[in-house]
Amino acid sequence: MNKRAVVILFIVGLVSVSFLVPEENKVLKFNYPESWPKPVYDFESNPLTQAKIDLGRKLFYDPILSKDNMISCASCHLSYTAFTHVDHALSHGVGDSIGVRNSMSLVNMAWSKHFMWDGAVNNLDVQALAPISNEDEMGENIVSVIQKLQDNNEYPALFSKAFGDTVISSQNLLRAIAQFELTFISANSKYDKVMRGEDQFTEQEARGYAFFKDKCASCHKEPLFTNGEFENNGLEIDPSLYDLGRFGITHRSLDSLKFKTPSLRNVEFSQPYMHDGRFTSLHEVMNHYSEGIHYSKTVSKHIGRGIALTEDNRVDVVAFMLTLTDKDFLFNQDLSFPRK
Amino acid sequence: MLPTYLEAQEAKQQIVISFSAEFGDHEIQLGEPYDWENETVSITALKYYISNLKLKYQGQVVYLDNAQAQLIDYSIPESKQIRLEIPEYAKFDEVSCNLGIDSAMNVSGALDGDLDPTKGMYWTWQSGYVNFKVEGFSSAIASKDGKFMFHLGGYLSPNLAVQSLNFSVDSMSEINFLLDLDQLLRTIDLNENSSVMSPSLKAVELSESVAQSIRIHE
Ligand code: HEC
Ligand code: HEC
Repeated sequence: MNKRAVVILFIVGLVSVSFLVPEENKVLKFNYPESWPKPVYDFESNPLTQAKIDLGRKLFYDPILSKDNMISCASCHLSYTAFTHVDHALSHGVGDSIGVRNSMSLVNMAWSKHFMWDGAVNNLDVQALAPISNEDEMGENIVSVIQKLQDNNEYPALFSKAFGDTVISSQNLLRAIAQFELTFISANSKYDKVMRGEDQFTEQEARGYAFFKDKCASCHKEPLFTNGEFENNGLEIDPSLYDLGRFGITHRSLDSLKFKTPSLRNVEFSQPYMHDGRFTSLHEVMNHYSEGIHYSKTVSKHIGRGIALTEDNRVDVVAFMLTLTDKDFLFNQDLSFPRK
Repeated sequence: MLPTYLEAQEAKQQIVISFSAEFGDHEIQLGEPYDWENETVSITALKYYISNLKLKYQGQVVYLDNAQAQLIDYSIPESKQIRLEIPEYAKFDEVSCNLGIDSAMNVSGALDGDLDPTKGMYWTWQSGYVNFKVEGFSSAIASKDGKFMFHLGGYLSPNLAVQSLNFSVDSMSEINFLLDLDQLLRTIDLNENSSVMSPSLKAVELSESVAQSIRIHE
């Protein structure tokens, strides 16, 4: 057989094989707005498929991951509230002697290089190990979670559908959960529409945006509204928690009191605010930046001893932050509790 | 038909690298009490990662193990050996490897095989592998149960704990890495410090002591 014939047969073979791949196992392209930076998540090591995303979604909403079968990821990360826990200032603590923290809103996870307020977790894939194993959160351990899933009457078939193996591994479990979280993309707020020229800011929002770009965007960087870095924004340490943030991980004094800059997308719904949930309204947050800065060595130079905001500035900036609410994201049926 | 040079490559020699740990001159048995310097010491768990294993000849790598890492677990006899196949004609004069997991692998997400987090060598509340774990009891420890626990790891500078091990060897077909527990325990004042469970400078210092307590058994 000549070479060309072999190549043609090979291609025909590939095409017919790809016809045989069920729709739910085809590798999906990760779609995001063109103007955005490239995601940092390594999609090559964990290519998205619908079957894996669906499996991750079922797991995310399933209390089977917890010891008493009562708590799911969604207990603390609710889709309607930007995947955070609303009524509780403090979720339960993570890790030995780290203290108690407010739940985080999960949005645009594919762009995040560090996870948790102090960046204790370095890859989205392994993040779920933390809540599953934490005594105060889900109190389980990964070995027995896998056993429970393996003994369950639905999961082995779902893992087989997604990963081609009825034997459940931690890798497949973690990758499925990560895939679902990767689909939490919020890119259709009023702000996004204005940027695309489909809508217009009110005068007040426009003033707030101008102020924000000037004073806030160095950390809450567009379009993700986070620079992905650890910063000290001048919160006074709570002596009962004594949470030193990033310092607890790196033990470097220059990291003392620094926390991961949260995205402000959907911030309207992610109250209470800050790592310990100390503020319940955006207005309190504005007062903090203006008058409440607790100056220490590691406070960012962008904040210094405070960002002077007049009463009008505060109202304007809050109005602008409300344009970051993305109803299509919050009420996206693909992200909510999976109904059969 | 295969070209002859491919056939020639088929001829292999087997190299067996084994890992042992001794107290005095005894290969340790987990859970056995040993009399040691006026104390009674027993080791209940001893596990560590060996990764990035290489054989070198005159500084050039002649063999690179492509397994990501092997977990040496003293409760699992089969895990205490690494078998390599290298071309029959290959010579080597040095063996090198990492004791533990390097930074790059520590940030690579959910891994499988010996790096599966179900192996009990992964911190869950803070990402990262435990490179070396030893647990046991000593009568020298004043606390009620006399337990010591060292979980050494850390992938972020300045708490980077992975150690590189390099030894000269003559193209031997059996290489034995010996962990000298006498020497290791002599570097730790157990009564003062009976537990290290997270990345820290102390963990780095102890990791260096572990590396210095390993030698090739002649
Ligand atoms: C009891 C409440 C609770 C449960 C249950 C819970 N989380 Fe969280 N989650 C938190 C808290 C609190 C944080 C912040 C932790 C910290 O900074 O130490 C967090 C942080 C995160 C982050 C990091 C976000 C970022 O931007 O850095 C992710 C991702 C996450 N959780 C996913 C999950 C998944 C997946 C599950 C289920 C396996 C889960 N959570 C279960 C409370 C919870
Ligand atoms: C130096 C970097 C920096 C600057 C400048 C900055 N922030 Fe922040 N912001 C942060 C960090 C870090 C946090 C989280 C702090 C924590 O919880 O310890 C935060 C938290 C917030 C939160 C709470 C979000 C949540 O989900 O909890 C809001 C709202 C906010 N900032 C708005 C603003 C506004 C408005 C400005 C400008 C007036 C601003 N920030 C300027 C770094 C910054």
